[in-house]
Amino acid sequence: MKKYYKIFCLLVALCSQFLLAQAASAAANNTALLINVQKQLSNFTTLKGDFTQTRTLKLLAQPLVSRGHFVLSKANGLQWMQETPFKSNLLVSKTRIEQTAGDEPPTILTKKQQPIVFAFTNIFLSLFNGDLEQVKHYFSIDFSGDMKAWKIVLVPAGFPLDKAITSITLRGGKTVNTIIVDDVKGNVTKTSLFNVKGS
Amino acid sequence: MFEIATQNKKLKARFIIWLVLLVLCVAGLIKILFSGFVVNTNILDLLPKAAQTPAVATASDKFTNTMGKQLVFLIGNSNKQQAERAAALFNQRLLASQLLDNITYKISTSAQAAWATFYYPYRLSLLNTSDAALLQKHDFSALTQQALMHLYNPVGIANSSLLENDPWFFFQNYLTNLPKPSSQLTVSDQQLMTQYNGVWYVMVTASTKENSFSMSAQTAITQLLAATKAAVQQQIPQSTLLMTGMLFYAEYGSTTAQQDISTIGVGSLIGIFLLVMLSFRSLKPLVYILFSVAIGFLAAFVVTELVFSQIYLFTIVFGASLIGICVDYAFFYYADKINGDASWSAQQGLRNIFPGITLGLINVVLAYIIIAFTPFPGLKQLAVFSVTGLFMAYFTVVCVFPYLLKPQQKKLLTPLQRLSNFYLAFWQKMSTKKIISIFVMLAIVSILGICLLTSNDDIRILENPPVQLQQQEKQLKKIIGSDIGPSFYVVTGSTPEKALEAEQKLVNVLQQKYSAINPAYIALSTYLPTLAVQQQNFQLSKLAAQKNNLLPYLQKIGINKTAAEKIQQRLSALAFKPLTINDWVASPVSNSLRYLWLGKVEQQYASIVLLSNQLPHNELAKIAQELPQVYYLNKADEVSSVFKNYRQKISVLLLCAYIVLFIILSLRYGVKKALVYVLPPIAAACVSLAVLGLLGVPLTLFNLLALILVLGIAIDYILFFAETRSDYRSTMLAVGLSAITMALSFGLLALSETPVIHDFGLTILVGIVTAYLLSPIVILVSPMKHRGRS
Repeated sequence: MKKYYKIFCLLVALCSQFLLAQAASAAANNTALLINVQKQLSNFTTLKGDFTQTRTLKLLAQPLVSRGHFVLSKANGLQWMQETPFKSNLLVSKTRIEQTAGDEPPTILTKKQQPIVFAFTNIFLSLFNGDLEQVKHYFSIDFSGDMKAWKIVLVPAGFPLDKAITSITLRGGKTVNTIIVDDVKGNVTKTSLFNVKGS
Repeated sequence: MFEIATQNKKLKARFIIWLVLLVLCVAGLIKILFSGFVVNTNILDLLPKAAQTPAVATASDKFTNTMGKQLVFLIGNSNKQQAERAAALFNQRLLASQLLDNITYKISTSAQAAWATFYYPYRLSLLNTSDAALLQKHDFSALTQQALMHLYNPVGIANSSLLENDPWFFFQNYLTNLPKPSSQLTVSDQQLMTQYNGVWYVMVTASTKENSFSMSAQTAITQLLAATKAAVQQQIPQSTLLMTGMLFYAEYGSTTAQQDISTIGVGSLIGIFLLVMLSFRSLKPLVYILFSVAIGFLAAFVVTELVFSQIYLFTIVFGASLIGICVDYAFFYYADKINGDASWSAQQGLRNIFPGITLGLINVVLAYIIIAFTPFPGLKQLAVFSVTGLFMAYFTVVCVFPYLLKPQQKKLLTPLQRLSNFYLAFWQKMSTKKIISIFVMLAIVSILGICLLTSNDDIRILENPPVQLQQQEKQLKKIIGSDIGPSFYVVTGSTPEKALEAEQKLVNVLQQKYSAINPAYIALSTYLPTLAVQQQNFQLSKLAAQKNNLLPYLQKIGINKTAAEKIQQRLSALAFKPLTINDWVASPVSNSLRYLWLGKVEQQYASIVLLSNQLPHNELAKIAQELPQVYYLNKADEVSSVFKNYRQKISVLLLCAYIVLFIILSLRYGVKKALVYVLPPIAAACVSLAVLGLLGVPLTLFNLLALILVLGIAIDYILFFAETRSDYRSTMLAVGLSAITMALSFGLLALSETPVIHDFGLTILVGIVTAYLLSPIVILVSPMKHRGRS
């Protein structure tokens, strides 16, 4: 089951780009600045860019580092195209999770088979549409910084998320730059996003 | 004097016997009322069980019983929060009512986590099919690639402790591949929810505490739901409630049947009242006649309930039409009295009618015994009910009426009597030529109509479920994405393991044949592999934990040698831990699927495999035939074949009944007279069939059953005439009164919305009228000297 929370957290992190302003205004009920940020950010329907993911597991001598490109769109969900250390392609949409590596036939998870996974996917998509209520159900939100450099920390509000995740930290300026997921076992996954373009 | 004394003694003895019977009946009634009784409205229960082993029959019953108690609700609102609030309120009301069990509303997070927790200790024995296939091929490069994808996956679960315990991610793959019974529902805020056409629905399930056919439960639950719905809609406007369950269909069935009963009952009672008032110009006969009917009913109800421990609603509906026959005996007595003079005595009257009504009773009883010969539980019960009721009504007339009836004070000649006498005179004057031409005409009409007759064995003649309920069920199933059909397999075995093994074989076939349909079935073995499969999986897991297979992979991902060896040693040291059916049943993970396992039934262990509606039913039956211990159950098909089978059998039975009747009549009255006596019963049957044909009503099993009754009653009329000792006019009147009552009650039956009751009523109506109109033919061959009382 933990897997699903992880999926969820990542999705929350990624789409927080769109949510930032609302999260901010909800957390720190000040400033017109944040409203401006919200306006600016909610204009995007698609985000494109490159990523570097560094997964540090205590058991491993070296962190697992992967690089590639990503596309996040309101219409099609998340596309995660890994280039190194091996090529793989991951698609997360409302009803499907599809994974392909090399010439192998894709591994597909559908909503029909795994309704619980997609419960989270659906939350992700409602977040995407700016529904902050859903995030509030699962996390407490802490916002700091200004429009050029901000930080959001999401802390699970209760069981069972808190059994898997300590916190999710998002940093960014115009767009999200880094996502750091700390799990309760001390493993850390840091994802950096570069060359992010919104449209 | 001596003779009268013996007579009186006999009469007294009979009265005492009657009194004892009455006391027994009342005692029985009190017992039934105190212990409560079940009225079964399930039409399928009226039918014979298909030829199955007792274990399969019991298993199927057990399963249908559990399913029959199930209720499913969807509480909807276009606003998600409002839908949740409505569901909470709904749930709270249901809980407070204490009428329902197993109300499932919130899915606790612990239940979600329970799946992983439950299966984890057995992880080495659990593999999904593709992993098992890769292991069998020793394809460790593919397995390594697969594991790497998990490790790098941005939405992956990879963490240190998982890597230590399940380095190949086999367990995770197994869990994510376990199918879920319903496809559209998702867990949201700990509730099972789905969005359909812009409306949010929350699912709540429950089961009834009592049997769905318990009328008190039906009333209580439908009232509760109506009140709850109103309360929810008042507090949260625009909320909708969809529901389905056997209970609602059963409730509809009882309501319509109750309407039928009251129509028939009230109709016949009004008819009797009018008839009695018209013929006898006094309330007293009405009271006495109703008294005999009431006693008959009491006895019938008590005996049936005690013998069968539950009474079918159909028995009561058809039984209500018995009023028509019950009154015959009393009518006959009164008709004799009304035509008697001042010298008439009750005992003399009884002597006059005794042979007629006794032979009549024997005949109807014989007709019912024929009906009881069919293997239909419902008809057996109807036969017991009718025979008891008729006998007690008859016995009341014979034992009690001699004390009640007084000689006629004033000579009566009512319009009804006049009409009856006129009709009798009409027959008395009839020439042979005329009679022959009447029968020739009837024969032509009959042949014409019977040629147009078609037959119908569809189950729908039995059931007429309301469109509204069916639509609601369909919509509900569509919203939750359930596609499970009404047919299923029962798989048995002498041990739990053997049952599972048989099921595994079945599931393998289904999987191979219908891989395109997902899910094609819901089976226990998906969630609980057989021990053989578990052992095989365990061996494969051990293979994956071998040094030369595991260590290169662990080192490739960057685990140092010592740590990797430690992981390898720990995994290799794990012993086989079988996952047994008892473990599974005892765990909360089986909550939603436990109904698939029926446990021990009749020295066998049995499980159920549910099937998708999309599967071709004819093939499913074939699959079962080819596999041992697998039985396919499809009630609709079964019923139709049973109908056809018995429609044909009963046709033959009916033919035999006529032959037997002819032989009996020949023995008593001689071949010549018997030849004439059988004409009205035969004509009654033929004309009934012809009318069905001309009206385009197809012939069903139930028309034939009605014909058996028509035969019994037609013979009654014949015998009444043949055995008349005093005056044909009283016979004509009695037969007329009886026919009018019968026509009235069965005619009302023809108004029923249930096709089978309607057909039954129509057939009897036509048959009785014909039998009545032709019955005076008897007097033409057995002229009796009038005693000159006119």
